[in-house]
Amino acid sequence: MDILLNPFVTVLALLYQILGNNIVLAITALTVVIRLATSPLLLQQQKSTEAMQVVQPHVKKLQEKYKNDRDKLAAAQMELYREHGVSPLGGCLPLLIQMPILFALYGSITYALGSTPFQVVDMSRRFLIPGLESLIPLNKTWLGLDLTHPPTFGGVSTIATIAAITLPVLVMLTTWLQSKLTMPPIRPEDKDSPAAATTRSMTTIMPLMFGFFALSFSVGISIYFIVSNVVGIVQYTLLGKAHWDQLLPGLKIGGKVISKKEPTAEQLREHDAILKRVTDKVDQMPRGATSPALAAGRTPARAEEVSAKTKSITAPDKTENSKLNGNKKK
Amino acid sequence: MVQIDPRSGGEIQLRDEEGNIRVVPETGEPRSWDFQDGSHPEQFYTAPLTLKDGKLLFANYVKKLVEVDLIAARVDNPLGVPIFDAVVADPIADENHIYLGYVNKNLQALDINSPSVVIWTFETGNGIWSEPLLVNGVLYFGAMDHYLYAVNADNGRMIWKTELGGAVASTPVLSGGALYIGSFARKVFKISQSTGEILQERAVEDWVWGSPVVRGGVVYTADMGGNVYALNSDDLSEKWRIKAANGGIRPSPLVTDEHVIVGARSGEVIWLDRQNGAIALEGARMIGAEILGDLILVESNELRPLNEPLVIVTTVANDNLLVAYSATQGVKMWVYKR
Repeated sequence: MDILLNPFVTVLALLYQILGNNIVLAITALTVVIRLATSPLLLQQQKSTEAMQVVQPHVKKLQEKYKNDRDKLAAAQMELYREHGVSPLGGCLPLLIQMPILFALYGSITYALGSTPFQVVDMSRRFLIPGLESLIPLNKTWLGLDLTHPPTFGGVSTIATIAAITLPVLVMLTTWLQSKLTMPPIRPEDKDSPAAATTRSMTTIMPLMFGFFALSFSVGISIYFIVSNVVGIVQYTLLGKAHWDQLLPGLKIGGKVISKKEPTAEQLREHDAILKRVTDKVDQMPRGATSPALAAGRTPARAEEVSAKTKSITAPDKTENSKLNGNKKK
Repeated sequence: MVQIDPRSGGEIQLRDEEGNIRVVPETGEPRSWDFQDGSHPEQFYTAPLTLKDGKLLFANYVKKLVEVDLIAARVDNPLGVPIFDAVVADPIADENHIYLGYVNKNLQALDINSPSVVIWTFETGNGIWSEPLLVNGVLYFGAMDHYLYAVNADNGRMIWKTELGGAVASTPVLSGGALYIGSFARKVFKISQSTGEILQERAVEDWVWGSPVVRGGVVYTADMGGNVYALNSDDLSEKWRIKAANGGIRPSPLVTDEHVIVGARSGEVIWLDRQNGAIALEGARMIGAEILGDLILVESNELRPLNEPLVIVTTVANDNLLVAYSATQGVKMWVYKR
């Protein structure tokens, strides 16, 4: 973790120095920079999520059709994902890459604000640029609040008390807003499904949970939460992925009504065609085979033969996919 | 808090007026000298202050002072005396006052007979993480706001302050009319006691956290890069230096007649030849737990005779809380664990 944490601590200290020894501005700047730098990952994650949403109704149909044959269901799902060019884990990888970065960002704020001797001792080996130690300890007071402690009510001044109340509220509000805007819209036919219930409860639980964190963790971390949420909202909006219509139906931005995209009739026809191809292929499988590839002859007794034939089996599929993709573009 | 017998490393058992070991009524087990504050175990950073009425005074990290009877290990007021802020610097006292530096900022003088009464408050720009040095009615102390201060102990008025380029987390040492101290600016300073003027300064490799030790005209100091230095006290010129440990050295060096002994964050305890800085006694003793507290030299006395002086090393690990070595041979004598 140090390999990530130390550069973050160093950059945070540099920003603190550049921004007039203001730790709140430094936290804000670092959070914005990191969120922007991880935008491509966010975009990829979002694309994957959307693709999964498109496939989901068809998965349900497959579950219904093959409810008595697990092997065929698994094979059909895999084939469906392949046809749509979707990886079930496609959304996880960007998230997995982002997680250590976000943990390092969080950790760097905790370390840089170091309030106990243990934390400051630990800081002694984290600066990668000599000379930054003259900044230690970073100024950790903001609006009368100690950024290294959870907000305390009835503080040193009226402003401190107002800030102590406002910060957790802002954390909850921005978390709720981000959840509401980024959660996929629930289709009318899915509104009673467990997934829809989970989505609805997440928009309630997440803000409460982060509100609790804001009351328990240091004020500096609350600032990070707020900035991170606001940057996330702006990012999703600029990418056209924020579902403002869920919040404000009919909202116009730049003269356009922001609303969720429904698939066109042509897309629906294409999706149905894919589904039919998948089910036809899987229905031809002998019982017990676990993939169309196996259906084409991969049995233990013929392993070597199949190995040699693999190219000739996969090649036509690729050609078929290319055609499909070509059709999609049209 | 617990009292340890340096001869054995065992907890001291409480005795009644006739000298019999007291027992816990419920279990019949011997009663040790210990008490639990009830707070989080990490919340004591300071050494206790011995008061003249046979009491020990503990300042803790949850903003209170706790008085403990030295003989009976009894706490008369478990709630303690509320204080201005958390404390990580050891408190000191004179006839009239207790002087407390606080973790965020300020130094206060409290009435020694009634510690809830504040006599004066001296405002600093940031925390005070080391005990003040009190000489002839003047308090000298470093602060995390990068300054070394001299303050009148009677009224809390500033006499001088000197900027040292980085946080000052150690206590200055007085020798020959000059104060010696290091800072996070990777420097060691020689400062005029009367005016605060910087007389000499010397760059070192890393932060200096522990106080220097001045002995025989030589200033011994260590840094957070694991280096140990012997500097001539006149001009701070280098007598010898060595990269002694893999981890940073937070505590002050312990200087004996023959050796300079240091403990490092990497868990090493190293004996160096005082004359030339060479590694002595066949290399480092590895405890394997982070050493942050100052090393303590315990010498033999009439009350508790020892065969030879001991070096007590404190660590942050429960299974090696205190480790005792013979000061001259570096032989491990005992380990105290919780």
